Amino acid sequence: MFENQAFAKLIAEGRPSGEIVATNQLLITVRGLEGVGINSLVMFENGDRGLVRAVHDQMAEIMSLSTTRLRLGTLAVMDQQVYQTAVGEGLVGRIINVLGEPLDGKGPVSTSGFAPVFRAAPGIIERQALDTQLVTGTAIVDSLFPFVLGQRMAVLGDSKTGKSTFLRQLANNQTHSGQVIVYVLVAKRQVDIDMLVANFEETGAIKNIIMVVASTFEALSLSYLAPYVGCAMAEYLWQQGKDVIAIYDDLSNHAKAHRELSLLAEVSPGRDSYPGDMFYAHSSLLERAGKLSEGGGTLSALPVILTPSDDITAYLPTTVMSITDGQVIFDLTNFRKGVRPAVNVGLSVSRVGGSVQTKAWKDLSSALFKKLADYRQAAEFAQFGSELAPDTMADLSLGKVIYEIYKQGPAEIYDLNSQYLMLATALAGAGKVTLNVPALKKMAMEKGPSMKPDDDFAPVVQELLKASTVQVQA
Amino acid sequence: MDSGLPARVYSPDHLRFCLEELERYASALLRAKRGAHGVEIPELSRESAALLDAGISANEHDDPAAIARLGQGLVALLQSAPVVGVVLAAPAPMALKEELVAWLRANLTPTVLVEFHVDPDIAGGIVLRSINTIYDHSFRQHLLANPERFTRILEHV
Repeated sequence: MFENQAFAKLIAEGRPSGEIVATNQLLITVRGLEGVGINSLVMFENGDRGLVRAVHDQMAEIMSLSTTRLRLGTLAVMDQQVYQTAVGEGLVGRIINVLGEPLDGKGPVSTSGFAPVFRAAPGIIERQALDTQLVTGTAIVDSLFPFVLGQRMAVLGDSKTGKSTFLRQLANNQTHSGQVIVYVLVAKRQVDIDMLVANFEETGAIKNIIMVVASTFEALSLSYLAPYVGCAMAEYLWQQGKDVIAIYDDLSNHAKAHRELSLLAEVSPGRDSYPGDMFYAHSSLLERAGKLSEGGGTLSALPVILTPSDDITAYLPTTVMSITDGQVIFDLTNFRKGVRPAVNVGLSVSRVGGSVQTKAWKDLSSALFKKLADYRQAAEFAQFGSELAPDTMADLSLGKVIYEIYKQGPAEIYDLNSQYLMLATALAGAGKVTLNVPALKKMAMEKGPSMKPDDDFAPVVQELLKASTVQVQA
Repeated sequence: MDSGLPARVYSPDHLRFCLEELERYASALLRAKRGAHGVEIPELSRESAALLDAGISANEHDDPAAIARLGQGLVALLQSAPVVGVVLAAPAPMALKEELVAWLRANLTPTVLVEFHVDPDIAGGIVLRSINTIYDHSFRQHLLANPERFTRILEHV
């Protein structure tokens, strides 16, 4: 009777059904569907799906999950009372779309069950304090703004400032750590998606990654749903005791999708035309991260937010920064100066990072912050072109060396010990000796991996300082 | 609209939706003609486009006045056209609905509007409701009318 077998099955089961009476490309009004609630999933006669956004007296307002414009009179039937997505360890290493369909050509996805896409975050009793560092492999972040497993850390910056490169480095650094990455791409261009996939396949990181992809050419509603679907998949693994890192790249596109859908639904616009529940949309997503007291699994959330013209005081950056436990800000000015990763040291912060650092690292971090502040001050003085005091010259020289160490190419990843050796050596030089930074990095990378965090680093630092000091002939 | 409504537009709900859409379309056309900046002409649904084709000539499709006249005609039609309620035991696929609408328009009046309802209690068949008449050709009605016939049939099973 019906061409679509899945639809015919649902109708035969006697599920609530209704008929389309109005359609506005993305938003569809259906008369009938008694018994559906908000976030119920419905299926249309042609097999397309939609998500219930609002329920009125006799009508249900449905957000279409496809770009097909449906005909008036088309039937709709309830598929799921509460929208659920397929979850399981079988998804790790796969590239899927928001509906859980594989995009990587590796055959059907094996799943362990279904989990609600929208759900409340665990309560405070179910959580415990965070205690393990998430090593990103990027020296400037690990030394100054350490990420912690279970933390919510916003990544902000203008486009083309290296945000995605940093996240790629972070993901690649987890290749051997056993941590699972759920990488959610929201409204991205296909070429960007392909490049990211190619990089992960080349480095082998893909085997630890679930990629949830909503491309810019798909329905807007899929861009809106993608972060929640990715979060549900991450949450399942988190509850299994795994350490999971969810990267939402990016929530600005998600907010735009939410804004467009809300405007189409004639929801009263608020600041920047975003709907009133914009903050809730992001907080309800990011609160679903942390460390569980039972099982000990962690879910870290790394939302990416665009800050056009480095304006971090806009609506979205401020709301997301108020939700997260810190932020790393990528700066266009630094990027143009060649400081890459272009992290803005003055504006970035990790609110829980200090609690997981060892004493040695804490001392090193505070010394670095002080020296970088001195460097900025010395750089301002240096602009006048007047003769500088020896101490100011040393501050200037040390700051330059620290920034040289912080400069990392996209393929360069440093372990924590190597980072410590490089930075401690620079501080030991105090800007009074000329250091061969590439040689220092190379030597630190050779020595670092074989050392243990409890080892005495001081002799090695002195050895590196001696070996990397450039002898200036008078 | 003397030639009748397009097959795609068959229920009062559809007609109301198309009216709203045509109103927005005509309003956007008018603003564009007056030289307003940034006016986006909305894309019409297939149903509204079919109404436009059936209601006015092709050279008037971008004429707001002609569309407004069509709208007035459609409002009058919505108020006066007979509405037939069709009750089926299960949701009907589009093809069956189109077939029923075509039959009703051919045998009653070309402007008849049809509302489809589902009532599993009728067990099968069809119930047609116009303003003051019910044609009950449901399986339930046949059972109620001739219970002994059903018993006889069962005896031979």
